[in-house]
Amino acid sequence: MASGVEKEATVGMPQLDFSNFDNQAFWLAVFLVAVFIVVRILVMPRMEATLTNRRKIIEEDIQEAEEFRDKALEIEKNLNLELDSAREKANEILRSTKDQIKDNTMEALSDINEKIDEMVQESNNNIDDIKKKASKDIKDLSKKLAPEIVKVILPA
Amino acid sequence: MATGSESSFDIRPMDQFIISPLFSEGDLNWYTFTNQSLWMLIALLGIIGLFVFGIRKGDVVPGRIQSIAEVVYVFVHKMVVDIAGQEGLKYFPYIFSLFLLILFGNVLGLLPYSFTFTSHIAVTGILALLVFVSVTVLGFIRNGVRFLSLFWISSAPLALRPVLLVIEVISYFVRPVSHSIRLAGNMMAGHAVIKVFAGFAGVMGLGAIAPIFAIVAVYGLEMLVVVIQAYVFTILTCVYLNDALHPGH
Repeated sequence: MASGVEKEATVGMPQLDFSNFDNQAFWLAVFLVAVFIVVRILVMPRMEATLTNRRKIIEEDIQEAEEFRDKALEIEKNLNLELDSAREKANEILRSTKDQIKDNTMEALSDINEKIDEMVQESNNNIDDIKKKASKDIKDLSKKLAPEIVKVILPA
Repeated sequence: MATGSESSFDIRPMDQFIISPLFSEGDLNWYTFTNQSLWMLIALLGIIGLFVFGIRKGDVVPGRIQSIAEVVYVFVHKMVVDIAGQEGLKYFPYIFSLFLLILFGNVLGLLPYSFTFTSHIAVTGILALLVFVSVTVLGFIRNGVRFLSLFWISSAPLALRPVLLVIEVISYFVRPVSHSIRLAGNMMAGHAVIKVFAGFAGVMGLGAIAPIFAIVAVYGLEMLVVVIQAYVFTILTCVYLNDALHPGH
């Protein structure tokens, strides 16, 4: 080996020793072709299959998620529709109940008014009776009292 | 070493790049299995380990190893599409192989006692020439003579176009040179620097703490550089490919 080292030492850069270029070229060709074959036959199909499979799974998942989202939106829409109709029904009930209460109140009010009127009438009649009776009493009393008064004023 | 007195401070940062036969003594024939071939083999095994056994299960939710492999794969895939467009995907297997071989060569080269085959201009030169020749041939096959419009900048003023033609042609033919020397130079320089500092540390005794810190820093930097250089080589390949596919712009 010593002679070889001496030889290299004179060259300085082993890269510029052209005597072994054929050897380097041969082995580079061998391994470049080997790497190419490995890449072409073993690496690429497997890698493409893996990447394609992953892309497919992701796309399927996204599609599924979109379907679920659409379904959720539809459910929400239906829910809102039902809520709206329920609210409307409740409003309807509220309105009809209010009307009924108003009617009932009106009826009761008019009933009471009638009764009050009746009672007033009756009271008025009573008052009239009492008045008549009172005036008659006064007349009677006056008739009774008159001779007494005369007797007192005109003695004998 | 014969030069005994100097040997205490005998840093040989370039010795790590010497190619020597592994299983046989003597001459280097074109078929001799060398330390360089060994590390190419280890890179191949690493690629198989990460990209074949790492993704064997093909889980929908990837584990750690599978994540790494997928990130690298998708990264290069996206790079090809972004730069060379959908038509560029046809050449993705070759670009990905280039990237993996260079990346593993670079990263494995950072291991102590390893050999960095991407630091050899012969290796990167052949890789760059392959890209250059195939891209040029591809450009002519796909576009015919229209491929030459790459050199005739129709958006420039007419008077400038001949000048630009010369510049463009020169820069086109310089591409493989810069493409290969960029990678080999970066790999070689980083490893040589580490080796030089290691040599200092070896002879400085207790003071070796300083060069050791320097080695740590340079090593951290090199971790970055090896990945970036693999990336740069690949992205330039994509850019050249794009020129061949769409020479109009």
